[in-house]
Amino acid sequence: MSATGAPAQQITGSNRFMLLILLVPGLLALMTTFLLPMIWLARASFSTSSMAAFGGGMTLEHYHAALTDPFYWKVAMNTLSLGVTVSFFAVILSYPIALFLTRSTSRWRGVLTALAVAPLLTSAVVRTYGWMVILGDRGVINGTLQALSLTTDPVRLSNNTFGATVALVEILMPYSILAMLAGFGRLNPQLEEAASMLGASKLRVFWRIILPLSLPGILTGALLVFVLAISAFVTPRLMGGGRVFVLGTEVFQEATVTLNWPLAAALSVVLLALFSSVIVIYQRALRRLEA
Amino acid sequence: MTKRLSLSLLALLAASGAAHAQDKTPLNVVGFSGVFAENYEKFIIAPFEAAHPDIDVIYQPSKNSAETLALLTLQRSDPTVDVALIDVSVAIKANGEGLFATLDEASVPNLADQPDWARIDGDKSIAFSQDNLTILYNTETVSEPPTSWTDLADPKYKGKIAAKLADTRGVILIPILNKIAGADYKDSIDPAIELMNQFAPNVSTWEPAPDCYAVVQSGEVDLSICWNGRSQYLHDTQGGIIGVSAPKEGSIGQTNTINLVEGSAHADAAKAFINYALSAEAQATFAEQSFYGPVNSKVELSPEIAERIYGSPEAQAAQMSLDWPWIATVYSEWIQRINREVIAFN
Amino acid sequence: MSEHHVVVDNLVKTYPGAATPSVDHVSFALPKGEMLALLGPSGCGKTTILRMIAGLIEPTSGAIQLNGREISQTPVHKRNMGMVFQAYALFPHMTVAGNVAFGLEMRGIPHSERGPKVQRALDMVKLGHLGDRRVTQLSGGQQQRCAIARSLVIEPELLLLDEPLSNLDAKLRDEMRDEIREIQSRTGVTAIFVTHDQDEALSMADRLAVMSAGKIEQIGTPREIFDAPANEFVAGFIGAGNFLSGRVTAPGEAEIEGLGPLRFEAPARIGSQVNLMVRPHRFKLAAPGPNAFTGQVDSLVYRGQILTLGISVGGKRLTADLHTHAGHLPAKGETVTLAVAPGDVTFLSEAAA
Repeated sequence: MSATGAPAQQITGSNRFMLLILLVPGLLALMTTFLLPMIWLARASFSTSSMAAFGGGMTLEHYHAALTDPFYWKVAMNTLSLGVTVSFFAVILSYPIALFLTRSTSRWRGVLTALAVAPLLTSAVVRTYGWMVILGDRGVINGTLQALSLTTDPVRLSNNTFGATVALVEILMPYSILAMLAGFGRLNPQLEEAASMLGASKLRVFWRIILPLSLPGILTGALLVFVLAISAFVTPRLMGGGRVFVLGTEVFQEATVTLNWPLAAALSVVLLALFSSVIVIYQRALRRLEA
Repeated sequence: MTKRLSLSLLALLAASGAAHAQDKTPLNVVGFSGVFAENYEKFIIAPFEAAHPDIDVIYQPSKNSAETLALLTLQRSDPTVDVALIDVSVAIKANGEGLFATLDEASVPNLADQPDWARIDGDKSIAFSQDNLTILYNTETVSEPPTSWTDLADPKYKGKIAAKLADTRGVILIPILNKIAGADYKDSIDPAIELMNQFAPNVSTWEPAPDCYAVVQSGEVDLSICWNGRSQYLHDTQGGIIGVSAPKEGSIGQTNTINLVEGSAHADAAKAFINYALSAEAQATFAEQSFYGPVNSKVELSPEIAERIYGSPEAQAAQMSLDWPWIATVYSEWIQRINREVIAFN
Repeated sequence: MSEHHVVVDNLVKTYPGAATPSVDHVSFALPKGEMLALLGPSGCGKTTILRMIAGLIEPTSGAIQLNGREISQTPVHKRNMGMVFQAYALFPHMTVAGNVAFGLEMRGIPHSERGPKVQRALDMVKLGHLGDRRVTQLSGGQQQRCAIARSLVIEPELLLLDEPLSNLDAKLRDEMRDEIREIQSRTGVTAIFVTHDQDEALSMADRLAVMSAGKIEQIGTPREIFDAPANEFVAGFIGAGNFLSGRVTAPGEAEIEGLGPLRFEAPARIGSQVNLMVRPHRFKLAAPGPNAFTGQVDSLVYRGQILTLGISVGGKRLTADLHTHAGHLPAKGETVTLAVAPGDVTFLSEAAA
């Protein structure tokens, strides 16, 4: 090791330069597709012109409007609670699947993993329509209930928060499964065997070994689902029947219907702030877990 | 493959070369998509081009007026669009940003035939057609079509109505309902909100997907509050499953405006086009073909066409128009009230 | 039967879809306090046996008794065995002390009693001062000690070690080898360990079982295995050897092709074909005579205490290990004579001609 130290360092030096050069296109792409729009968005949220034009005056009125209106507070709370509910159920449902896929030694494991994340191949819009067919008043479930004479009037399963939640959970599950599969690196069958040998029953192996070791994966999955859920707008809009007011749908409404772009921008910034605080909390939690 | 490709490339070159050879003025028009675009190209643009062989009208359909507005805002220093067809409420917003040029009767003589309410913001935006808000019903499940806006509150339609009201539809419905309640929309809209809340419990979805027509066609709901033009078109083309019932209390049209983009490089050709689009001839043809209400006061509609656009003679007599610039000042507020006082509770 | 602490009887493991069993009717018994090494090349089934005893693999058939109890149906967590895994399998989310305390906790031992027991176990493996460390901060040797402490603190009835030294570097390996042996004899725990390393097996085990293709070829003390290998496989697997085959021409004498007559001390029928072996250290430098072979030294490896030389005789190569203090040491090219006493010739097998 020490004998090759000097040349290795030289290579590292030129490597760093190469690395920078290789990073340039990616950084540029990130700048133009992510950073610049973000800056534009932030600037737009202070714009005095309703078209969010650059150059004009600056004002805080849109933040004032967004933050003093109890309705938007309620919308923010709705958004948070939808995010929490969706991530909770997505994690609960994804965890056994991800755990099975991680631990399975079956030769079908690859196929099963592909199947579990295959829904990602279709767009969220298509899958939302799928859920409308299942949960609608004349959908599969209501049709079955009525055919079995269990109900006469349709049970409202869609066009409300319930429908939006169900659809979001299913739509976002592949993301949490993928995140968990990536985050389960510390799981190792030998650790489970070691725990059994030391007298732990299957249940205690799960609680003391599997669960703590898979917690980082669970947290990553939950965070990913949460972030995607609170920024979702197509599914809450379509499955919510217009009744589900979340920041995503409000931003859409302000941007495309009432054409109040600065307010839409201000609401987006609020949503971003919500993201950031959750990510900060998540990273603190993760650091504590892995410390 | 390559041969065919190069052939078609050649054809393209030849076509553009030909256009240049004849020195045609290109005129870019951005407007609504779908059936509107089809009809507009066929019944307005084609006759105009026939009369003006030196002008080549290029129609670009846009998803919605908000998108058109975004495009115009982006291009304000160097517009590629010459004429924009957009919703009146969006047009007023655009005028606030100075995106459109003022027209005058000298270069657009047909302006003289437009009623005052249609000449918006000092002749910057001119209303050219109105698409009435109406009630759509499924002819297979609804034996007795509704005749009044108040029929929406009939308990038999519980969970059977689709109503997207958090946009211009709601903004138009408010003055209609206010009139039914005997109130003026400029005073207070509380009566309209109250009437909306009477039928709101019947509403299954406030966000019909994919749109307010398909949910009736598929039988998912019995009634839906939609635009007349497309409803009539679907009535004629979809085997009559969709029925249109214009309520007797009359309605208001979603008003479409034609606008000359400020800084257009082809302003003269644009004015000629706008003048033709506003002519009684063009508006009458478009009304007959697309069931959009004409604006030009010289247009005379046959009773059959008038009925398909406005409904019964009673409804025709009750047809209203709005003070759009005033509406523009309350547009967001009204939608907010519909969202917060009607939809959020139902 | 019950005098033995561990009894394995006709144990068989056939994996689904496999043509031949991985473990094929293996039986052995182990007295209390002894250490048995399962030795063999990879894939011979030694680890499978260990894991079946542990309860991590279900046997296809056969019985396993521990302390007189039949345990093959007992679930893993109730077998009360300690196991040291090849990669240690320490719980990464726990401290060193937490790992060691885990087994006690599972046994419901109160917190107040756990502390001293954990401390004693850590002291035993010289980790007493590192209890609060994360296991990921330990060196390889320390992890090994931690794993041993963890498996012994529960006072197991049987200690199982799966290739316990294979993850350590050479120097540490010798140290840990002695230490494991020392701890095992101090605690008196009965132990079975799996290895593919003959030195490890010979130096650590009270007894060793040499395995090949799912079967035990020979089981015995290191000395028995080394000096009296039951067959060619054992002889070849343990230590080096000069393998000589020939026809028995007289009682206790065989004619080795190319070498001439070789006397040995084993009954063999005249005329039969025998396989014999001479360990390199059994050869001595001598004057030509009976049971002596003369040839030119063509290879020479000096190993400190031992000089390994090779000579060619009649197209055969013989290897001899000579003690370097034994006076004259031959040089390359020198003609030497190697002699072996008939009692030092190992008889491996006999077949009718």
